[in-house]
Amino acid sequence: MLRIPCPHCGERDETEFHYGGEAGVDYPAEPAALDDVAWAEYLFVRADPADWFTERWCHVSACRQWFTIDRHTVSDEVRA
Amino acid sequence: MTGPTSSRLPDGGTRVDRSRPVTVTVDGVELAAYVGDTLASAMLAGGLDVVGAGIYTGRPRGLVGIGREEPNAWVQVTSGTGEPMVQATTQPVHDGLVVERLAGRGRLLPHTDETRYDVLHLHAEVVVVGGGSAGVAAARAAVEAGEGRVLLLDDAPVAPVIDGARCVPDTVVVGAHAHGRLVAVQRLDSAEGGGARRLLQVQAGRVVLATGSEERPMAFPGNDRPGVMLARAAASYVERYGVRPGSRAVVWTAHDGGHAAAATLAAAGVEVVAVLDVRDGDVVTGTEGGERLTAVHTTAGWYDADLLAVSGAVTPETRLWTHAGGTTRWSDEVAGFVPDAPPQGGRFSWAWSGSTAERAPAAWFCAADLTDEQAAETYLDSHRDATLADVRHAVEAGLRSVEHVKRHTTIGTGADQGRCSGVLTAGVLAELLGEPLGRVGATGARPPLVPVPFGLLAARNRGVLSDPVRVTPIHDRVAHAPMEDVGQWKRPYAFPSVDESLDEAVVRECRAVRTGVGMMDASTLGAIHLRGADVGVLLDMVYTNLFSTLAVGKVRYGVMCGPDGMVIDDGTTMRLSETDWLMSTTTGNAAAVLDTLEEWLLTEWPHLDVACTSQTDHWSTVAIAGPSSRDVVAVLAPDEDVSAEGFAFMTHREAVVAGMPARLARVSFSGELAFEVSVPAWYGAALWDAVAQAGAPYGITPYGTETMHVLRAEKAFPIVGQDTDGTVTPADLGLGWALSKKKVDYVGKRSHAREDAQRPDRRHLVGLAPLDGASRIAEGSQLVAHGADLSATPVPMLGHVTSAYAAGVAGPFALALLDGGRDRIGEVLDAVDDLVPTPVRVTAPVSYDPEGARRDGI
Ligand SMILES: [Zn+2]
Repeated sequence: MLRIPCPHCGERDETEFHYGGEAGVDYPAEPAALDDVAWAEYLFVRADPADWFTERWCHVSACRQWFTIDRHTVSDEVRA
Repeated sequence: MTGPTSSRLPDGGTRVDRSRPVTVTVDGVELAAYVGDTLASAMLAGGLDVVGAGIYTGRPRGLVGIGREEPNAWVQVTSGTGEPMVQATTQPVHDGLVVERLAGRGRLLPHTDETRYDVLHLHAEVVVVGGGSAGVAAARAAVEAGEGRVLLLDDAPVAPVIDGARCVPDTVVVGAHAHGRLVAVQRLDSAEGGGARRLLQVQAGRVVLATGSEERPMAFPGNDRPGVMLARAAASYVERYGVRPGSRAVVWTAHDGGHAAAATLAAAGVEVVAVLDVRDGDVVTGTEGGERLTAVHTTAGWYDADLLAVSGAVTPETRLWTHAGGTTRWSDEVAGFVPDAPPQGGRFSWAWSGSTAERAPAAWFCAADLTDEQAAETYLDSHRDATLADVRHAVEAGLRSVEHVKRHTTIGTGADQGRCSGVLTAGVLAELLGEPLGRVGATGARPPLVPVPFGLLAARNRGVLSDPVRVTPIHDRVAHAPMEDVGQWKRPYAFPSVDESLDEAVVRECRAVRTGVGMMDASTLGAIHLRGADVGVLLDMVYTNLFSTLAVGKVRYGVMCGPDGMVIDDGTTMRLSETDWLMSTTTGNAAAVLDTLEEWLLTEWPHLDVACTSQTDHWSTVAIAGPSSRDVVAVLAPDEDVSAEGFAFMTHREAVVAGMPARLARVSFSGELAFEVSVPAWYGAALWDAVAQAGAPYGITPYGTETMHVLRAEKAFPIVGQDTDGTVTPADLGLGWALSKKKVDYVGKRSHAREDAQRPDRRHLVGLAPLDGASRIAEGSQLVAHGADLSATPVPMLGHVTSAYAAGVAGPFALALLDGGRDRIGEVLDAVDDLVPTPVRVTAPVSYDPEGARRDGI
C-alpha cells in the first residue's frame, strides 16, 4: 500500500487516489498543427523510467484535487 | 477414545492448560487434548504417527516440524464452517474440532464460508513483528526512546507484556509492503473454535522485523519416514506441550543446537541412543520402518530407534524482509541467507538474537554419490513429493537457475512455501552445479506468508455489502418487477403480468409506447450540474458538436470523446440559464464523466469559470413516451401549453406537475413523442403515482430497461459501453453529423483527422435481421462470411453483434459493428454463436421511422 502525500489533506492510503500517469504532458496548444507522429506522441508515448518519476495523482475520494509527486518506480519511495 | 498415552508426560508443557481437557477427532479417531495444544501436538500425544500422505506417491508421512515449517500435517477441517488445507501445527485445538488428514491437497468448501471475518486498521509509530527476545528488546527500546505508539505483533498464543507497548498475540504478519504497511491475520478463536479471524491493516512509521529463525532438515535416503523430525521441533513438543515425540531417539545435527535438543529429549525420558554430529564426519545413510521409523543406518553404525531428530541449521526467517524489498546474502557463519540491503525508504530494520559463533559450515546431505535409487527416496520437499532425483533431472535438462529448478520440480510451491525445502534445495543445487551458494541464491518469497482464506480478505465486503446497491426514490413502485443491474443501480427489466413471459412483456410494452403511451423510471441517468460563465467553452471542447450557442430553454444531444477520438459517453445537455447547465450522462458512466470534466478543468483549463456538481441523486425523473404522451402531460401540467407548437422538441421549461415543482423536457430515446418530468428526488414516488393516475385513461404502461433498449435500438441510438468498446468513433456509429467542422478544436478532433479514422472499411454500426425472419441473434456473436468454413483457423472475422433483441417491430433484430458495414447493407452474413451460424441480412442501423416523422406525435 503506497502512502500518497496529498498537498491538501496530508498522507493517505493509495486506494483513495486515482493514478494519472506521467506529469507535464500538456494538451497541445494547437493540435491541428501537429503531424500524426507528434500527435501520437502526445496521445500514447510516456516515459517509463526505472528511476525517479514525476507523476500525477487525483485524490478522488476526498478533496478531488490533482497534484504531482515524485516517486521512485523501483523502490516506491515518494517525495512530495 | 484414546486415553492419555505414554506420549503425554505426566506434567509440563508451557502452553497447555491441563485443567481444560478437550476432545478432537481425526478421521473418526477421538483424541484427548488440552486447551493450548495444537492439532499437531494432540496428534503426537495421541500416538498418531501418520499425519498425511504424499500427494503423488501416497507414502505415509509424519510430523516434521512444530510451526509454519511443517510440510506434511495438513488437514481438512470438517466441523463448524469447515476449512480446507489447514496446517495442524498452527491450528489450536478446541472441543469438537473434527478434521480429516490430507494427501497434500484440500477440497474447496461446497458451501459459502460463513466464518466470522473482520478488518481492523491499526496505526503505530513503531511496529515490532515477533515476540521473541529480539522483538521484546526492540519494543522496550522504542518505548524508552519515547517514539510514540509501539505495537508488537506475535504469532504465539500468549504475547509478551511490555509496559507502554500494545502486544497482540495469535497474529501472523502475512505481508510487508511499501511505505511501512503490514497485513496480518489475527486469530480470535483459539480456545472456542469457529475459525473467526481478523485482518489487520497496520500502518507503521517504522517496522522492526524480529521474525526469528527456522530450523531446516538435511537430505538423506528415507528421510520422509514418519519419526524423522526436526530436532528443535522435537524438543519443543516436550517444552511447550509436555509431549514426548518418541521413545528411542537418534539425534543428528550439524550445529550445537542439536545437542541442546538431545539433552531436552533425554530429560523428558526419551532414550537417546546416539548423538551424531556432521562436524565429526557422522552422517545418516538410510532409515527403516513402515508407518513409523524402526531403525537408522549411519556411518557410525545401525540403531534401533523410533525417532530421528535432525537439524541442518537454524536460519533467519527473512521472508517479510524480502516482501518489503530487502535483499539477502549467503552467510557461511550462519549457514543461511541473512538480511543484506534493507528495503528502501528506511522504514524496515532487522533484529535477531541468534548467535553465529557455534555454527558450522552448511550441511546438505550425507553423500554426493547417492545412487539413482537412493536419490529417488531422498526427499527435498515432502509436501510436493519431490526428491533429489528430480533436482538431478532438472540439472541434467540444463536448468541452472534456482527459480527454474523450483518450477521444474515444483519444490517450494506448496502451501508451506517450501520452508523446509528452500535453502536445502539451493544447497543441493549449488553442490550439483559446483557453484558457491551465494551465486545460486534463494528463491524469492511473495505474500502471503501463510495461506489466507479469501473470505478473510473480503471480510465484511461480501454478499449485499460487496458493492453498494443504488435504487431510485421510485424503486418501491417498481420493485415487484424482475430487476437488471446497471452499474450499481437496480432497474426494472420489464413488467411481466402473471401469465406473461419476459419476451411477451417486452413486446407488449414496446407496442404500448409505439401506439399509446408508456412510463419509465429514468432517474438513474447521470446528472451533472455545471455552473459558471465559461460552461459553453468547456462543453465546446468536451462535446464534438457546438454547445456554446445553445439558447436558454433548449436541449442538445452531444457525443463525448477521449483525445484518441473514441466515444466515451453521450447524452443530452440543457441550458437552464446564462450560467447554469444540466448535463445527462449514461447511467453507468456518471462518475467517470464527472472525473473527466474535472480533470480537464483542473489540469488543462483552470482559467475557465466552471464548477461541476453531481446531481444524479437530486432528481427523480419519469419518462412519458408514446403518441398519447402529450395528453397525459396536459393532464399533469394543466397550466402548460404542450402542443407541438407551444412545446417544441428539444426544449425544456420549469413547470408545476401534479402540484410539484418540476422540470419538463421534450426529449426522446424512442423516436416517439416523449416528455421527461424531473422533480426533486423525494417527490419521486408521488410523481410516479401521479403519472400512473393521469395516464390510466390512456392505458399508460410501465416499461423497463429491455423495452427501452428495443425502442432505442430500432432508432439506432447507440448505448455507450454496449455498442461501443473504446475503438469506436462517432463516425463509426453514424454520428458524423455531430462532429463540428466549424470549431477550431474539440477533444478528439485531431484524432478524427487521422487517415485511419477516415478509412472506409472501419467497423460501422449496422442493423442485422435474421434471414428467416424468426431466428434470434445472440449478443456477442461473431460475424463471418455466409457459409464460411468454421473449422478453418482462423475464420476471418468481419465484426460482432453488440445488441440483440427478440422482438422489434419486424421480429428479431440486432445491432452490430461490421467492417465497412455501411457498404455491405443488403449482404448476407453468418452470425456465429458457439459455432452455430445464423444467417443474417445486413440492414441500415435505423429500422423504425427512419424519417423521424413520429417525434412530434401522430
Ligand atoms: Zn486531498
